[in-house]
Amino acid sequence: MDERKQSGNGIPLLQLRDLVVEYYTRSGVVRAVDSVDLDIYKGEVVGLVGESGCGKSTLGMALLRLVRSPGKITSGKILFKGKDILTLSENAMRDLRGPEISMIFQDPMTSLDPLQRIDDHFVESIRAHDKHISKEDAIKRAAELFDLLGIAPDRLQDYPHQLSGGMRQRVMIGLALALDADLIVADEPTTSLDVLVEAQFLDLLKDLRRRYNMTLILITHNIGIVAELADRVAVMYAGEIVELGDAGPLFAEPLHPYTDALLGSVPNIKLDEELKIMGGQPPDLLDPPAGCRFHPRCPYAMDRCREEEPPWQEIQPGHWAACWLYAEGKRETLHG
Amino acid sequence: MSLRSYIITRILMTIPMLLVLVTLVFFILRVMPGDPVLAMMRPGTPKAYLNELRHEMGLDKPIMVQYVDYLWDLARGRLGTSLAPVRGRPVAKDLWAKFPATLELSLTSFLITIIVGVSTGAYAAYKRRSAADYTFRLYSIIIYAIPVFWLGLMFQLIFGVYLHWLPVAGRIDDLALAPKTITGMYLLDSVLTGNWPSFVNAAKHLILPSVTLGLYLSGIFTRLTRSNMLNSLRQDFVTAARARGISENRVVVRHALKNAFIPILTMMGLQFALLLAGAVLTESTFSWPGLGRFLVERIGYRDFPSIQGTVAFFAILVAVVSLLVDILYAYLDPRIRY
Amino acid sequence: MNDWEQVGLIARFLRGRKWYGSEWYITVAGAFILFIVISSTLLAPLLAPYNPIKPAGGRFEEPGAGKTVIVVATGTTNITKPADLAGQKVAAKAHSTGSVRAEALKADVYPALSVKKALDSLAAGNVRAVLLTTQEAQKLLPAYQGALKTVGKPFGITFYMGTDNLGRDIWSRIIWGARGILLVAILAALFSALIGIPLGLISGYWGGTVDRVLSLIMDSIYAFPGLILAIAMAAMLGPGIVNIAVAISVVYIPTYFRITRGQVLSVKEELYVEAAHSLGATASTIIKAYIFPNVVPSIVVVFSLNIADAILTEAGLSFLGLGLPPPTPDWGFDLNKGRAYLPLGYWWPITFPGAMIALVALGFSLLGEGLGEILNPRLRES
Ligand SMILES: Nc1ncnc2c1ncn2[C@@H]1O[C@H](COP(=O)(O)OP(=O)(O)OP(=O)(O)O)[C@@H](O)[C@H]1O
Ligand code: SF4
Ligand SMILES: [Mg+2]
Repeated sequence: MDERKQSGNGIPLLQLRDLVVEYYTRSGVVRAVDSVDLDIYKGEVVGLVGESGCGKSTLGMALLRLVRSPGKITSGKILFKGKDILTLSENAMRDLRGPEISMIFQDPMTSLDPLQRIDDHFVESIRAHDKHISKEDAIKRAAELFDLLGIAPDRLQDYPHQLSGGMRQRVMIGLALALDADLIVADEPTTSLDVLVEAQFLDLLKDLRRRYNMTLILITHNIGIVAELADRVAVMYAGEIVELGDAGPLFAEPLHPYTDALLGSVPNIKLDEELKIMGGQPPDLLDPPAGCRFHPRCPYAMDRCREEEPPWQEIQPGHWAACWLYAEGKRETLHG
Repeated sequence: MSLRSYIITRILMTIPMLLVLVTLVFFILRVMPGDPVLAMMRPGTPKAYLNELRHEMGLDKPIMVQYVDYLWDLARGRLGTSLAPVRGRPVAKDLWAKFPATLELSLTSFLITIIVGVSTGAYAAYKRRSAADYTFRLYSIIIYAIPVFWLGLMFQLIFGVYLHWLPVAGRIDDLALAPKTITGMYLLDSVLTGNWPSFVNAAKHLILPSVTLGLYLSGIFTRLTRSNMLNSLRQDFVTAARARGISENRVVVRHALKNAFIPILTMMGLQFALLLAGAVLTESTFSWPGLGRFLVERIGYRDFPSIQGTVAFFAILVAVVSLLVDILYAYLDPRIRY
Repeated sequence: MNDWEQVGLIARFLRGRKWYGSEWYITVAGAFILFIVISSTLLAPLLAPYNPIKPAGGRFEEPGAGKTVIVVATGTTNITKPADLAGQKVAAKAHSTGSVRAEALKADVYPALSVKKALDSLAAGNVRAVLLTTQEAQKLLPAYQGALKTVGKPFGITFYMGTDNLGRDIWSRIIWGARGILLVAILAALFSALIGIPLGLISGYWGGTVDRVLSLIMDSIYAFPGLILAIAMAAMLGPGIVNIAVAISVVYIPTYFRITRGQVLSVKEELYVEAAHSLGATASTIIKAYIFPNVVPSIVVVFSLNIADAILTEAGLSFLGLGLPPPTPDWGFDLNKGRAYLPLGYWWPITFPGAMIALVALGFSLLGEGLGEILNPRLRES
C-alpha cells in the first residue's frame, strides 16, 4: 500500500469499530449507522458517498458525539489517536471538539450565529480552548487566516448576513483551521454554493490540504468532488459501508454493484457509458431487507443475497467490498 | 439602512398609528353610547345643567368639529378638564401625577414577567419532554387562566393577612416617608436621593403587586420562549457552536436563547399592552394610586373627560412602547440595522 | 359542512388520542371541566340549596357551618321540631343564621345582641326557644346546666362554602353565577365572530383600500389594551348582560378579522379559486364553497380560546363594579365585595368565586389548546 499509511507509524488517526448509531423515533428504531468499520490515516482525504438518507451525516456527527436527539451511539468504538472517545467525559469531549476534530456544515448561511460578528466567532472559539489567548491575539490569528482564505480582513467586523455564501463557507473553514484541528469532517460543504463558487472553494481546499497536510473526511453525494479531492472513498448504503478503496481503482473498476450503479448515474465520470438512473428506492431503515440490503435493487442479486449478509472482504489489495459476487474468490471485477 | 434612518422612519411611522388609536378612542367613546352627558348623568338631572355641561365640553358642536378640536387639544397635550370631583381641574395634570406609579408597577412587573417566563420557557425547551417541560407548559396554561386580581387577593390573604410579611395596599406607609420627587417612581427616587428607609418601605409595598402582575403574563412568555427556543436549538449554528467545543452554557444562553429572544422581542409591544390592562386590575386590587385606579375612580364619579383622557393616554403609551420596542429590536438584530 | 364531514371530524378527533397523546387528554380535560360547570349551572334550581340573592344565614358563616339547633327550657314539651316554632317567641342573635331560620319558620323573632343574651332571655322565660348553631350550643349550653336543653336534630343545609357579607350562601351564588358569566362570554365571542369574520372576508376578498383601512383599524384595536377599552365602553353603556357583552366583543373583533383575512388570502392564492372565479362563480359561492370550509377549523379553536379570554375580561369588569347589576350572582362582583373584608381574615368569600373563574377559563383554554393541536397543526406554535 502507499506511503501515507506508513506515515504516522501506521496507526490510523481515527478508527471506527463496529459503530452503531440509532434514532429512537415514535415509529421505531432507525439504525442510521450499522456496524461501521473504518480507518482514517493522517493526511488523507476520505470521501464518504452514498444516497440521501444512508447515514453519512449521522456518521459525521457521531465522530463529534453530537448526534441529534433522538439519536444515540448505541455500540462500537471510536478510537481517535488510539483513545476511545466514547468513554470520555463531556468536558474532555468538549476539549476535543475544535482543536482535534472539527466540522464544517452543509449550509454556511445557517452555520454562523446571525447575531454575532465574524470576529467574535473566532474569539469565542479560540478562547473556549485557551483562555490565555487575548482577544486581540485571537483577532490577529483570524485576520491571518482571512488573508490565507482570500477574504479581506476588514470583513471580520461584519455580521454573517453581510457575507456571501462562498465567503461564509470559507469562514467555516477558517474556524476549523483557527483551532488547528487534526481531523476535519466536512458535511456536504459545497452543496449550497453555486458552481463557480464551488470550484473556487475546491481549489482552496486543495491548496489548504497541501499546505497543512490536512486530514479530511469529505461527506457528499457529489461524486465529482470526491473524484477531484479524495485519496480514498467509502461508499455507504443503508447505514453500512459497502465498498472502500483508493479513489482511482474504485472509480475505474467499482466492485460493489451499488457503487457501479451510483457511478453510472453520474455524468462525466464514466464517459464511455450511457447515463443510467438507478431504479428503486433506498430501503426503509426502520425495517431494512434481510441479507444484502441492496438486493431489491441489485441486477446481480442471487438467492443467497436475500438470506445471508455478504462478508466484508479485501478483494484486491486495499480495496474492500461486501458482496456475494466475490465470495470464495469467484470474480475479480464486476464487468470483467 | 443605518440605525439612525431606521429610527427616524420608525418614529414617522408611529404618527399614523397614534392617530388611528386616538381616533378610535374618540369614536368608540363618543359615538357608541350616544351622548356622554346623558350616559354619565343620573336620570332626572335638570335639562339646563345637562345643556350647560354639553356646551362646556363642546358636545353641542358637530361631531367632526369636536373630533378636530380633540385632536388639536391632544397635539398640545390638553386632555380636557374634569367634571368631578374637582370641576375644572385639567385631566392631564392628574394623569401626569398618577403616571409614575403605573410606570413603576408596570416596569417591575414586566421585568418579573420576562425573568420568570424566559427562564421557564428556555429550560422547558432545553429539557424537552422532561417532567420540567410538562410542568412549565401546564404552568403557562394555568397561570393565564387565573384572574390577575384574584391572584392578588390570594397573595394579600397569605402574605398580608396570615403571615403579616408584606403590606397589601398603597405605595408607601406614610407620605412623609416618600422620597423627594424626581421621577415620581419611589424606588428610583429613593435610590437617587439615597433615602434607604424610603426605599425599603416602597420596595415592600411594591413586591406583592408587581409579583402578581408579573406572574400574570409570565405564562405567555413561557410559551413564546419555549417555542422559539425549540426552534433556535434546532438551528445549525447551535450545532456548529457545539462542534467548536464551546461550552454548553454558552451555546444555550449566548447563541440559542439570544436568537430565540429576537422574535419574542417583536411581540413585546403587544404584551406590554396586555400588561397595562392587567395593571388596571392590579392597581384596583392593591389600592395602587396609578392610572388604572384613577380611571376606575373617575368612572365612579362619571367624569367623562377624565375617562376619555385616560384611555387616550393609554393609547399614546401603547404607541410609544411599540416604538421603543422596535428601536430595541433594530439595536439587537443586525439584520435590521444594515 | 355535511353529515359525512361531521362524522369524519369526530372520527379524526377520536383517532387523535393515539396520534396526539397529551393534546388529546388536554382537550378532554377541558371538555370535562366545562361539562361539569355548565350542567351544574343548568341544574342550579336542583343543586343550589338556597336562594342566591337572599340571606340564607348569618354573615360570614364559615364553610361547613349552617346546622342550627333549637334550645328550649327543660320543661317545654310542645316544641320538638322546627315546624313547631311557627308563631312562637324565639330569640336568636341578630343577623345570625338562627334568626334567619327563625324568620323563615315564621316565628316571632326576638333579635338579641349575642347568643349569650338570647340564651339568658330564654332562661328568664321571656321567649320560648332560641335558635343557634351546633357549635355555639356545645360551647354555651353547659353553663345553663339543667335549665336548658336542645330538642330535635340539628337542621338546615350546610353552607358548603360559607356565607358572604350579606349572609347569602356562597355555594348557591357560585352555581347560579356561572350563568351570567358564561352567557356574557359566549355572547361576546359570538358578537365578535359575527362582526369580525364578515369583515375579514370582505377585507381579504376584495383587498385594496377597503382592506388597508380595515386592517389599520383592526390592528390598532388589537394593539390596544383590550380591557381598558372594555372598561371605558362598559362605563358608557351601563350595566346589563348585552351591554357588557358588547363592550367585551369590541376587544376580540380583530382576532376573528385577522384569522379570517389571513385564511382568505392564502386560499385566494390557490388555483382552484382562480378557476372557480373564471368559470363565473359568484363571490358568495366562492366564499361558501372554498373559503369558509378552510376558515372553520381555525375559528373553532379561536372561539374557544376567545371565550376563555372573555370570561376573564367579564370577571375583570365585574371586579371593577362594571359587570352585571347587583344582586345578580356574579363571581367577579362577589370578589369585589369580598375584598373589603379580606383584612378581617374572611378567606371564603374571595377564594371560591375566584377559583371558579379560573376553572372555567382554564376549561375553555384547555379545550381550545387541545383542539388547536388536533384540528389545525398550523396554529400550533403561533
Ligand atoms: N433527527 C432524526 N430523527 C429521526 N431519524 C433521523 C434523524 N436524523 C436522521 N434520521 C434518519 O437517519 C437516516 C440517516 O440520516 P442522515 O441525515 O445521516 O443521512 P445522510 O446520508 O446524511 O442524508 P443526506 O444526504 O440527505 O444528508 C435517515 O434515514 C433518516 O431518516
Ligand atoms: S450481495 Fe448480492 S444483492 Fe448484494 S450487491 Fe452483491 S450481488 Fe447484489
Ligand atoms: Mg446529510
